[in-house]
Amino acid sequence: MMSEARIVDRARQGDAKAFEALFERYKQFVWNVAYRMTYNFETAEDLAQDVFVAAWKALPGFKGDAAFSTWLYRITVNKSLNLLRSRATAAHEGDEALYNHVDAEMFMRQNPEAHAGALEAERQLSKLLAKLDPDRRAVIVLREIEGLSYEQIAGATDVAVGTVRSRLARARAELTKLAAEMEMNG
Amino acid sequence: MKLDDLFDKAQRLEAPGSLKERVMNQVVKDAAPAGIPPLAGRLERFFLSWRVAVPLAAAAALVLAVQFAGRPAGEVKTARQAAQQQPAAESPSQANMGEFIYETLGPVYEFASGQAAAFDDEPDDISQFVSKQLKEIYWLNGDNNA
Repeated sequence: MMSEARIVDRARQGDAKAFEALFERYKQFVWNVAYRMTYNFETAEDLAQDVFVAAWKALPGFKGDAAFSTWLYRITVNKSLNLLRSRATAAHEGDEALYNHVDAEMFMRQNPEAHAGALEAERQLSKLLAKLDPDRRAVIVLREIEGLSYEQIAGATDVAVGTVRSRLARARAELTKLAAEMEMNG
Repeated sequence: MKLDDLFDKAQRLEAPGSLKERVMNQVVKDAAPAGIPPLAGRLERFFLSWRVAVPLAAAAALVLAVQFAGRPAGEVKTARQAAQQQPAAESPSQANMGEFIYETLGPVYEFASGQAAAFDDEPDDISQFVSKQLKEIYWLNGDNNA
């Protein structure tokens, strides 16, 4: 079986088949981050496509100083944050309803194996994450849902590990407070 | 619901099948990205990679070691020793020097005499020619016009 470094090297030289192998390996990560950062199916798909196409175009310049996964995580996070920030600055009242909303039908069609509580958990999560600022939202998704280490998150968000820890602690505290409020309000 | 329960229940979602189609269509369209490195670039990377560089350096060191192993230090000559063993350079003789001066200065003298003759319609020698030129310069710039 070909090593990832070899696959990356071939993709870097323009081998579309090698890039397809990388896509298969990382599509779930990119999709999950894109979806949890927007909770809009179409936008998440555009975003995920944007991430992979950007990676393909930038691959010739990939020096291999960091792991390919870290490099791709960073592209994913940057694209997601840029999207959220641009949406925040150019937000229209009506547009916000399109985001942070779990389409039940689409969700079940995409995830037929999902367990009974998954849809409800996703709905609650979407409401909570919508209230976090983009940077905190990103570290929560990367750590609590994707299970990345602090070091991996630091690489993906281009901040120090200490910053990741503090950002995560604040995000969790904020989410806990929001969850309590949500429960109280029914 | 507690936060940790929420995270536990949230599961990793499957990427839609249409995503692959969209990405790969774009990739194929852009194929041959800026990226295919030229042959020189590939060769450079190949030779710079440590996997190749280290054995190459080891091989070069081995060749040098073999080359000098059979030669005791006494046989290695310094530049001065090598120069001393060269045959002595030819020293100029008096006759050669005279011939050299005659060949080098002779044409100058003949040329100057020729110029003087051309002006005065009479044979002249170099001292008369130069003296005449100096007098003319003196006359034009100093004496009579001062």
